[in-house]
Order: sequence, then C-alpha cells, then structure tokens
Amino acid sequence: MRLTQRKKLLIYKVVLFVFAFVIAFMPSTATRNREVNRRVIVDIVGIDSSDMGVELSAQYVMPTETDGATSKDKITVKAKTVQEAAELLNTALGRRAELGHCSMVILGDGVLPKHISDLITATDITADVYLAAAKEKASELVGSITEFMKKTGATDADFIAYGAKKSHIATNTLLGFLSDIGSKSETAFAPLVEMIEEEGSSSGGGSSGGGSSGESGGGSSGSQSGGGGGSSSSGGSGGSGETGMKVEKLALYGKNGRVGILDSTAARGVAWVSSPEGNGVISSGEFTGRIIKKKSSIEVDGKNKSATVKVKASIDTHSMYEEENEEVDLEKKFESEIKKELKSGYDDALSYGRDPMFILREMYRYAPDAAEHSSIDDIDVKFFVEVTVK
Amino acid sequence: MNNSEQTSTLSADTSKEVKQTTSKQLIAVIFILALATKMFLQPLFLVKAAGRDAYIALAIDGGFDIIVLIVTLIAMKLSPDRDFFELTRCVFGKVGSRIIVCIFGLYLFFKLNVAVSETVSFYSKNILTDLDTTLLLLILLIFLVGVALHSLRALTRLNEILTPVIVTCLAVLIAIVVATGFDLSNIFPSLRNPHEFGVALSRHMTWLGDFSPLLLFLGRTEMKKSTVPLCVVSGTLGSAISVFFSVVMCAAFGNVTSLVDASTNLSSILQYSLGNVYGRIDLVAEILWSVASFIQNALFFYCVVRCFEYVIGKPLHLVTSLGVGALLFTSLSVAFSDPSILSLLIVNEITSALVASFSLAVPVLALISAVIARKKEGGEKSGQSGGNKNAIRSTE
Amino acid sequence: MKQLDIITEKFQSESVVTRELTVVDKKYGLVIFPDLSDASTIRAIVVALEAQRVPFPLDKIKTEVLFECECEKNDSLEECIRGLLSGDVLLAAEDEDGYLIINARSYTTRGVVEPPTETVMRGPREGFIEDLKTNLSLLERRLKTPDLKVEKIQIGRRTDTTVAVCYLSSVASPKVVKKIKKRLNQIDIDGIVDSHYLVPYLEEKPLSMFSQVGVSEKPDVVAAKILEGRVGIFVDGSPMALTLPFIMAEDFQSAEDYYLRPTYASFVRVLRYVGLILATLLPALYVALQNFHYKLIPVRFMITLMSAIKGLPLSPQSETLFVLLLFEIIREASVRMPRAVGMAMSIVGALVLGETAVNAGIISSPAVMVTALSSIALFTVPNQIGTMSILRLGYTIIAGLTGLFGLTLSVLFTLHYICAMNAYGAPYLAPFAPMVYTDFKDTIDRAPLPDMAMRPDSIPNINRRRQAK
Repeated sequence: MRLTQRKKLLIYKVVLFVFAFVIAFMPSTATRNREVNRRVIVDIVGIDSSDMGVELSAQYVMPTETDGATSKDKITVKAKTVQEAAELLNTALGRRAELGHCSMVILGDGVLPKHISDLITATDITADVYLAAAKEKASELVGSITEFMKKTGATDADFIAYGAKKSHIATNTLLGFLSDIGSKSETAFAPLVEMIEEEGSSSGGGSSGGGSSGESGGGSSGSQSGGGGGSSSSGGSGGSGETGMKVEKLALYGKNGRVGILDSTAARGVAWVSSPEGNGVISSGEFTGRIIKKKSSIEVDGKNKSATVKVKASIDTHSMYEEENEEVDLEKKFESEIKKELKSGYDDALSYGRDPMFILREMYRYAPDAAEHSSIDDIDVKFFVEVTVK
Repeated sequence: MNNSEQTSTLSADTSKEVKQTTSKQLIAVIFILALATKMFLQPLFLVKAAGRDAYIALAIDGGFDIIVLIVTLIAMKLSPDRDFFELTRCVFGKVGSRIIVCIFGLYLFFKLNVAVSETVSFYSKNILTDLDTTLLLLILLIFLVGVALHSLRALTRLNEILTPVIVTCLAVLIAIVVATGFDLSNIFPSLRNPHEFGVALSRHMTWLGDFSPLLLFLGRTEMKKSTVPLCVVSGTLGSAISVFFSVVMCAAFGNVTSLVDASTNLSSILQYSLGNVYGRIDLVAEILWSVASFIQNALFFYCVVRCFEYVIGKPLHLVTSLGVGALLFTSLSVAFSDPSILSLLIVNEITSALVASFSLAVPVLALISAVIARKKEGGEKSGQSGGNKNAIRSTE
Repeated sequence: MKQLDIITEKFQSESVVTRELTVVDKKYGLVIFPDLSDASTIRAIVVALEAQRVPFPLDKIKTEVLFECECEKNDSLEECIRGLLSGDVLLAAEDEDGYLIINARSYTTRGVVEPPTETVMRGPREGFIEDLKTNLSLLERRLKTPDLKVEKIQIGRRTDTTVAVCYLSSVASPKVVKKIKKRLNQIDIDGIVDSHYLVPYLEEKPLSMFSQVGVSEKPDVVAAKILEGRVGIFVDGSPMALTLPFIMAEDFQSAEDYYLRPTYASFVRVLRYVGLILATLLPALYVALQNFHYKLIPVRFMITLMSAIKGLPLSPQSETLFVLLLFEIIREASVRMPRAVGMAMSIVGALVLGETAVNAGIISSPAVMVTALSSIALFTVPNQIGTMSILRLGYTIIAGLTGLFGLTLSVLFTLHYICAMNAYGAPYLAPFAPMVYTDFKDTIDRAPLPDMAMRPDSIPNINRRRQAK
C-alpha cells in the first residue's frame, strides 16, 4: 500500500511538473491579448445623439516614452446604438478600451436616458461614474477638458466632481441618474460644466505633468464598420483658450431627454435638498459663510397633498459680532437667502414640469395612494429653513 | 491543583475524538450557510420579479429557513452520538434508509447544481469576464473533489479560520453603506402589487434549504447547552445580513429593475452610494467575502458524496468524489450552454414547491427518527459514543 | 587471552588494540579503540589496576578500584562491541566471562557557539553541537528537575546511533511519548547520520511538503518546548534537535520574542505573518491583476505599469516565473558557492541579472521589485522557505491562468489540506483551526509572561498550569 502511494505521488509530481511547464509556455498563456498593455485607459466618455444614432467621444490616456508621463487625446465614433459605438471605439483605438477606469460621463444636449442605460449594460463602465452635462455637444466639452487637463497635469477627471461639490452643486452618478428618472418624480439632473475662456488667449498645446508633449496616439482615421455604418475621428478639438471651468448650473432631464437648464441660484436651491454633500459657501449681502453641515428632509401629507421641505444648516462666518442680535440677524439673512434659492430651484424646475427635489417621489413613498395619480403641480409645497451660525 | 486544569482539553477527552465538529465550528458553518449564495443570484431574480419588495421575499425565505434550522438543531440535540445514516437505518431498516438517503442525496445534488452555477456565474460576469465558464467550473470542481477526500473536520476547521475574515469584510461593507448615508427609503412604498409579489415569492423558493447539509453534522458535533441558542442566533444574523444587503439592492435598483443582470453585485451598489472615492476597496472586500460561497459549495458537495457512498455501501472517497464531480460537470455544462435552461429549471412553481417541501421534510424526518431511536433505547440518553459501526464515519 | 581474541576476530580493521597486563598473578586484558578513546583515561585505568595489592575480579574492580569511572559489567558480546565502537574500553579478566565496559570516550568536537540558523540579538547564544553528551548537558543544565526523562535508543544497524528521547514525565502526554518511542523502535535502517533521517518515520504524512516536526539548534528553545509538553529528540552526531508534536504556529515564534518587550515582540510576530502572506501571494496577485483584474489597479499605477512593461518579450506570467526561478537559482547558488567568490558573484547577480536585464528590456522593474520583496519577505519565517517557495510558484501559475478565482481556490485548498493535518493529538493549524482562544496569548501577539499561566492547549499535556495564580 505504501509503495502504491509512493508511486502515485511520483506520478502526480511528474504530471504536475510537465503540466506546469506546458501551461507556462502554452499559446493561451503566451497570448498577450489579456495584458494590461493591450488596453487603452479611457478616462472620460461623452455621449451625443447624432443623425446616425449616437456619437461616443472618449478621452484616453496613454503612457509615453518618457517615464511616468502620459499623453491624453480624444476620439469620437458614431454608430446607430451605444453598443455598436462601444465596439467601434475598440476598433478605432486599435486596442481594447478599458472603460472600467472611466471617472466621468458627459451628456450632450440630445441624449436620452435610454442611451445611458445602454452604456451601463453594454460596457464596463461602473455605476459610480459621475455625470456631467455639456451645454451643447459632449464631444466638444470632452475635447476642451482634454486640453485643460493637459495644461493642469490632471490625470483623471475627479477634479470636476470636486469642483461641483465645492460649489454646492448637486452631483449625480450613472445609476443614480437612471434611478431618479425611474422614480415617481421622473426627473434627473447633472451638473453643467462650462469652460472659462480667456479673451484673446492664444491656442497652443500644453504639456502634461511629466513634461511630455500633447501627442495623440492610437487614433485611426475615419473607418466604416460593416453593418453599423459607424465612423470615427481622432485628435484634440475644442478651443484651446480655456483657462478654467465652472460648474454653476444644473441640466434637468425627464424621460424624453433634457428639458432645460437651471441657473446658478436655482441649481443651488436644488443642491440644498438633493445633494448629500454639505460644502460650499453662501453669501447674503456683504456676509459670506462656509457651509459646515446641512440636513434636509421632506415631510409629506398625503391627505392634504402638501409637502414641507425642511433644511437645517450650520454656517461658519468667521465674523466678529459687536452685538448679540447681529448673529440673529445674520441667521435670518442666510435663512432668507437659502429660502430664495430653494424657491428659485422649485419654481424654475416646475416651469419645465420637473421635480429635481423629488417631492413627488417622497409623497409616493409614504403616501402612495395620494401620489399615484398626481403630478408635482398638484402638491402644495412649503419651505422651512433653519440656520445656525457658528 | 484544579482537576480541570490537569488535562489538555483539546485531546485528552476520548469521547471528543469521535466528534468531528466543535460547537463553535457549527455556529460558524451555520452563519456561512445562512448568507453565502443568498447574496448572489437569488436577490437579482427576485428584484427582477418583485421589484423593490424583493427583500420581503428574502426575509420570508430566511424565516422559513430558520424554522428548518431549529428543527435540525433539535434533531441534533436529541441524537448527540448517532449520525443521520445510523438514525434512518435504526428506524427504517437498511434498505429503507438507503432509499431515503438516496433521495436526500439527489435533492442535495440539485441544490449543489444551483449553488455552483450561481458561484460560477457570479465570477464569470463580475471578476473574470474573459474566461470560459467551463474552465472556471473545472477549477471549482477540482477544489470540491479535493475537499470531499478529507473529513468533515478539515472543512469545518477551514470555515472556522475564514469566518472572522468574512465577518470583517461584511462589517466593512455594512459600515460603508451606513456611513455614506445610503438612501434606503427607496424601498418604499411596500407591497403595492401583492399579487405580483406572491407569484414572485412562490416561483423563487428554490434557494430554500441552505441548511440541509447540517443533517450530516448529526452525531458528529459536540453539543453544549448553549449551542442551540447560539446557532439560532448565528443563523438569524446571517439571514439578517443577507436581507440587509438585499434591502440595499432593492433601494438601488427599485426604480430600474431592467438594469439588474448577473453583473449586478453588491460592489456596484455600494459605488452608487460611495461614488468613486475609495477606489475599489469594496471589490476587494467582496472577493474576500465571496469565499463563503466556496465553503457552502464544498459542504454541499461533501454531503452529496457521503450520501452516495452510504447508498453504495463503501467508503470510496476518491471514486465517489470523482463520479459526483463528473456528473456535476456534465449537468452544468448542459445548463451553461443555454442559460435559459438554468433559469427555467430554477425559477418555477414546481421546483420551488418541491425544494421547499424537501427542505422541511428531511429535518422533520431526522427529528422523528431521533425521537423513535431514543424511545427504542428505552429513554436513556444516547451514551453509545464508542458504538459507532458506521464504516464511512470511521474512516474519517 | 581468549577473551581478547574473540573481540579482535570480529573486526576487519586494525584500529582495535589489545593489551595484556599481569597484576600479581592475575592476567587482565584491555581492548581499546584508540581513535575514540581518551588516552589519559586509559592510562588512569592501567595505573589503578596495577596498584592493586590483591587482584580483584571484574565485579569488585568496578566497585573497589575504578569507582570513579562509569563502568558496567556485561556478558553480551554485542553490547561490549557496541561500547567499544563508541569509545569505551573493555577489560577482561583471566578465567572470567564477560567484560567490564569502562567509559573512556573522547571525541573531537567543535565548541558551543551560536548556531548560524538561529541568530538572536538578545538571549542565550549557545547552540547544540554534534556530541550527544554535550547536547544533553546543555539541556539538563536548563531543566534541573528529576521529572526530566532521557531515554536512549540505538538506531541504525551499521551506525548504531544513539537517539535520546527527552521529556518531562509530569507534563508530556504519555500517549504521545509512547507513540514516538514506538515509531523510533520500529525503524530498521542501515544508518542514521543526522536527526533529519528520523523525520519521515516520525511524521504522520511524510510525503507532504509541510514539515510536521519542529527543529531547533538552541537549547533554550528546546527546553522551552519541552516545558510546554513536547518531546525533544536528540541524535548523536547532529546539532539539530527535533521536537514533537509540532504545530505550524511554532515557525512564527522565535526565541527572541521572549527576550524582548511584549509590544515589540507582538509587532514583529504580526510582521512575520504579514511577511509570509505577502511572500506567497504577491507574485500571484501581481500576475492576476495584470492579466484579468484591471479594475482593481488604480489608474496612476496602471499607467506606470503600462509604461514599464511596454515592449517586453515575455508575458507577465512568464516574466514573473522567470524572475522567480532566477531568484531561486541565485539563492541556491549563494548557499553553495565558496566564500572567496561569494562577493563577486553577488554583484554579478544583482547588477547583471537585475539591473542590466531590466535595462535591456528582458524583464520589467515592477516584476523584479515584486519578486525581490516576496523573496525577502520569505525570510521572515526561515523554516517555511522551502514550502512557500514552491507554493508561490504554483500560485503564480494558477493566478496567471485563472486570476483571483483560481488563486482564491488554490489558497483555500492549501488551507484545507493543512486543516486536515493532525499529528500526535495536535492539530497542525492550531490555535487557528480549531480555534483555541487561550492559546492566542502566544500566537499572533505575545502576552506578558505573567499572563501565560497555563500551558498551550494545542499541545497535549497532562499538567496545564505552569505558573501560580
């Protein structure tokens, strides 16, 4: 028995050795297709609707010859559907696009929620990707941001989300956007990103942080795919006179696409309720305070079809008060400012028939019968604000 | 000198040498069985069918399973030294017990198919999208066969090491959800469509019976006074965690059930709440936690092999393990060749009814057998620790 | 003398010397093995014999003449030849049967120095040597208790090696002792030249790559293990003492842990565990992430990686395996090579194979860095180097083929295999599996000594308490 076991073990060892040797050098292992070098990192994706169907733009990042340096460029492909466009992207780049590291998706003017859900299902893009909206064409904004990132040396697009949060603008993720559209309120939003152009600035390619030149790579000239009839183009585009960006407005969406853009006051009003972040500053007259903490809630009354939006905020002013009632005045001033923003957000959105504060959704959660056959117009909304100045 | 300090508690007590599992290990196993594959495909199917009320269905399933667990534990308490095979032989005779064990084995084999298919699907859709499912299945089967060659003790020890890791990862994931203020209120309103919910519930009961392998712990586990209550707590906690995460999933996808597919997992849900802030720490925690599914698969596989060995009548671990592995590979290769086959087999009223019945009937049978066996011994407590003639058990 | 002829006939070699001397009217004969005996002791024996006024028989010589020597009268020719071969002197008397075996052993041994395999910054620096007597004396100096039992067994038909089994009779489990002695007595082999010859006979799974026997060269370590209930085995001619039962956690414990502050000792122990996990899994993770799991790699690191591996002729898996094998070759060669060329070859290894290969684009610097880190981390637990080196190669291959899925399963499989190992009543992976909470005081962290009042539960013993309350 012992001898048999020994023989077995010897056979196992020989087989294992041969197996290991063969496996280590067999074609599937030697195949380089799965290597990380066979991928192109896509940092930002932009979607537009086009005459063909959809237009997908991608900002991709490639390492250059210089150690530690990267080059960024933009490529745009057109196809009938998002799935086709995603496949065409691989062809156009000459390598497989790695969308798992995408940090931002920019929505163009005519984009529908369907395109966004197709993007999630057809690609590796994760649910956590931040959304941004372009005023018109997403591909132009992608190009502008690409140039801007080359100048600033930023390696990923998280700075946009950072900017949005610091400005007290509501941000949204892919899944959040679709969930909001699918809710009773049938409303979603994305912060509008605009580039600040300096008057009379000259164009010129900047360099990325590692000191490399802004060279493009991997892009192909316009190629036609078989059935989809897609096309692609590459190269940086957009004005190269951008010196910064601003995130002040909010693009509103319904089931049929974008319905309007809220100005900065209205956008701030929406952020008070719909953004979980409590950052940014608030100004009232000559006083400016930093928002330390905020808490918002919506109380609904299904019987009376009314809702009260409550906002509590702690604001730090670094002010010196000479008299005690100055602090109380300040609190009232900030309260009134916040209320103004809230009303502006509500009214402006209502004019588009949208509910970015999700009052109707809240009504549907806790008084579903009342909300079942109602719209946002039917609900009597009041605002209550409480500010504590520290 | 205190006598209790005299001897080493681990090995000196000869009666414990017959027991392959300590009560702590049993508690750990129950926790794993309560949640392992319940966090894979079942919530996805339920969310697609019942929408935001899927967590209620899962809670009901969890409650049912806890009842099954309690019945099983009572049977274990009543039969501290006789295992399931011995009990059935004592009550139903040799032939009768083989028939019962064969049917039980087939039921477990079906459950094994479900569990393994879930695990392979999860990994092939989320972690290894480039790899063929057949290769993944093969690798998993090698592991399962290897586990079945050793004793139950080795498996429960392995589980004992991994449970703290799994619990830590789950705690991290729960902390992330709670700390980032995830909007759980999206699960409301509840039960707006009771009929649809009822249909969904009745068609998705195939995932019941995750505690069935515990029957093979009968007579092999050290049962203390506190074992049963602690096991119930452990099972309830495991079920509660799986319900909590299904609440998270329902809240995330309650409005967009069409987006739910096999690539949906806890990780993407958490990113919905987190945003891309912590990198992919959630995915790392997910991978570590998902080893619970491997343990569950191994337990099911082990049980199937032992049942078939009992039916054959010979403790041929290697041959039986390879045989069961080959059968499993064949059945799942057919199932994976057309995913709709798998869905049809698993999600329907008949299968659900059968599985639900079995999952309760078998522990009840064990309980009745234990009672009858005790009565046959004349009411004395089964102290026949050395009298185990079961050839399969003795080789372990 | 007839008795002398009987002995000399048995020997092929001419090393055995016989001398006859007459005291008064009685003839005595001496059989000596000069290579192994001490000349001064022999001289003292002769002087003592010649000083007799009345020639005594052998029994009385033992008690009246050579009372300070270790003597034993033995009628068995085999026993006498065995003693002679060990360096004893045989004294025969005319007209008497049997021989008086007198201990006159003297070997050339090296000094007691710090063992090269277990160096410490603090604590005793004595190490065992090849002489069994010296080793036993080093142990007995530390365990001054009548409970210490030293049982000697002769193993090896041609080497007749003395093997000493040492344990505390009031602490060690009698079952364990009995089992060990039984296994040793069952050994029927040509010769034992080192303690490692006994290892496959003592292990439950001798063909496993995991060691199931503890090994140490330090008397303080072996004494501490015996105090916990283990059995120590010494082999004449080997400086390595074996201890049984063995659990894997012992490899993570160092003698120095008990001579340092508990906080620092605990920190170092955690480092060892982390080091071993890193050493075994890092190359596999590196390959798996590159081949399959890009999402887990942060963007900036991914770019650095892409830049580093651009244009390499080998795939990540082949490259990592190549570098791992290279490191193994360098390590093996550095152990074997003569010291005179050691320095030069180290430079060749480091510069040529490391830096130049990277600059030439054959391998990438991340791969070299990962492998170097893994190899260095391996040395945090020196006793596990062999096993973990093989495991990490296996894991790397599996990870390259099947990613984290296969890697996780293979790690689980290894853990399961270890969990199944049980030897002499001690589970191999105790106190982790089965979890023995009381033993955690001395596993990952090192509790202060006053807190360790009880012996470890993982090792079978019959007396748990080692400190007063």
